[in-house]
Amino acid sequence: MKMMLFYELKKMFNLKKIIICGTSMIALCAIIFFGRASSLNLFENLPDIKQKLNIFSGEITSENMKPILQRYEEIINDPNHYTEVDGERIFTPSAEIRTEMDKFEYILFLHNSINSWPQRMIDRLQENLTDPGITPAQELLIKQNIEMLSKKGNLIVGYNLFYDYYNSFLKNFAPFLLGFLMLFFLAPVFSNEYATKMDGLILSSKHGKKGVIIAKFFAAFIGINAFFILVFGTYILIAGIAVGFSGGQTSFTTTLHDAFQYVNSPYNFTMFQFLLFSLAVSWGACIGFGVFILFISSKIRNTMTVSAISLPVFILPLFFYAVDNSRDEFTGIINFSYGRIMQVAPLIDRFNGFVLLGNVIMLKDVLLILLSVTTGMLAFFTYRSWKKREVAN
Amino acid sequence: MELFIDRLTKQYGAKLAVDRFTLKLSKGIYGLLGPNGSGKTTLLRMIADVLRPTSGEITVDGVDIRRLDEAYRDVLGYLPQDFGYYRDFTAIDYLMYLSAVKGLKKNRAEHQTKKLLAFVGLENEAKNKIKSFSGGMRQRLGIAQALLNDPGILILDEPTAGLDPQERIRFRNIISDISENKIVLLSTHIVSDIEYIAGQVIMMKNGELLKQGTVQELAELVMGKVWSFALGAQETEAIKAKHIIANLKHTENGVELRIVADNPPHEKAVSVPPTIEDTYLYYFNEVNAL
Repeated sequence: MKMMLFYELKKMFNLKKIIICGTSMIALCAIIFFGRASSLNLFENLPDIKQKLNIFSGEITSENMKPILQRYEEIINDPNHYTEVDGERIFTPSAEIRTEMDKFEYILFLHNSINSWPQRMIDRLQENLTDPGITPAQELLIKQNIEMLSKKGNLIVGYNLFYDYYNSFLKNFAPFLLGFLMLFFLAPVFSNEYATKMDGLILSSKHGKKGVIIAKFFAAFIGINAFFILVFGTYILIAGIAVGFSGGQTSFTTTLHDAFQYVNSPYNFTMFQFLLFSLAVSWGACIGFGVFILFISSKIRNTMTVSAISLPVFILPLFFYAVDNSRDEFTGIINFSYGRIMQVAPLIDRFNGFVLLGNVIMLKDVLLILLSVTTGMLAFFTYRSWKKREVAN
Repeated sequence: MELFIDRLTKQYGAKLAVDRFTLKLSKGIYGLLGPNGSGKTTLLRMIADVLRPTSGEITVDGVDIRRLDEAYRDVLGYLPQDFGYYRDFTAIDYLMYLSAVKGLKKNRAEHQTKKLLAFVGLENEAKNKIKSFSGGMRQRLGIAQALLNDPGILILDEPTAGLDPQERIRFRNIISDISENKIVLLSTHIVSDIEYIAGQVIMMKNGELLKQGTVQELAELVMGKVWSFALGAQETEAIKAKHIIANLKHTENGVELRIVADNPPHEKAVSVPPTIEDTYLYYFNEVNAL
């Protein structure tokens, strides 16, 4: 098996491909990071951002926030920061004070908006519970939502810029890079055997109908892991070295650039937990999509056709979502796609559940179970497809 | 070992590619002779377990090859008519990979690879990529892969296609050398490929077994039906239109003809001893195949 695996890997990767794809991916990860960093003047502003995010570290409670609120009130109430124009008092702080206030802005926003959001949601949901037209299933769902939101507790904040960059990469670029790598390397796994007419030789050999399949799956598995490590590993290294890895203990709803993206999430991850969870889910989606490509490859002898079928399955949902994500029923369907699962956000960005036989089932769990089941089924069909392959022409 | 093909049939839609083909093979070289489209390749694919028959079965020592599964393919060597290769693999990579698929341990695989590359005269090309090989070299590499597991049953489908005469002779000698204690089934539409090495010749037409016997026995089937005579150029044209010409040679005295026909084609015609080529022509009427 080892020897077969070695040659399956050799077929999948050759030195030229490894060098071209490896360097391209590293370059792309660097371009993506530095592109975003430069558009936000990151390196110029990094000391300020650090100061802003570090102005308060720890759990947001009224008690903890007192000094900041006090200072803020002092500024607001200081008559020296006002000027009289046409009989009206206008707030005109000095540049120094303005900068100091800017630094409070983020933490106050988290305190005033994000930290209190779950409680406001709970209040709203409890109001909904009083609606006389509510069905038992809706009631169950609302109660479950309330229960999950009640467990969220206060936000834990601090400097977590690395996770912010990671999150942005996960949502915007990682699926595309991984998707293209998988298509490029996995599409020929079976189709190339048909195209080169090696299938006859392999299938007439002792391990040609079973051992080869296992070796091919193992090789694909190693490949997917390599792509995953290459893409995420490179980006995480670049981002971590550039902005530091700290912030793992902060709440995952406190990302600097898009704090609202998980505001409705009933889950209560820290940034580090989110990193691990999202990497695991994204990896699972990669395995699922990889097996999908192998399945198509086992059916079709032309590698280009395999890619032409697999690419839209991956890209179109992401494209449609980017174009129009305003309709819930539409996004609800495309959230079941590999690309969207790879982005992880749709699984946990809000309370998504339904009632089945009196139990609340979370969509996240359904998606992950479906992903596992379809991956298993496609793997089996791929095996069957190769094993029952007839060399006719 | 005995390979028994029992009423094997393969149907594609309305077309019967192989029709209730029955044959018993024990050790020795068998030449499967038939024109293009006669069903040879389909039959060999079914024997090589890469194509499922519509009906009938293939057994080895009484056990269906489907039941034997890996055990059957373990004793099988197969060279398809148009076999594949990986362009960027070297000859060693190619044979080592197929050794692994055939279940050879690494040490044995290395030993067999080295031995067979020398056997087919490719030892100096071992580390070269297959994409740089000529057609003949690739064909020799194909033979080497078929022999990796020292198979008891060797299936060779049109193995000399695309080879020059020198390569074909070399190939014949290789097959002859390795045939001991093996069942070798070699399909071709080129009579000379099997004339000197096959113990038994099987003639196939329209998916059916037409005739089977030794080269001598098959040649004798057309005893008294092969004629030789010389004619002038003008008369020759009329004869050519009516009869199967086995050979035609221009000489100073006109044209010497060898014709396969049930009755004397000309008053000057004399009966001559037949060869298996004459039998082929008689049954397949395929002058161009020679």
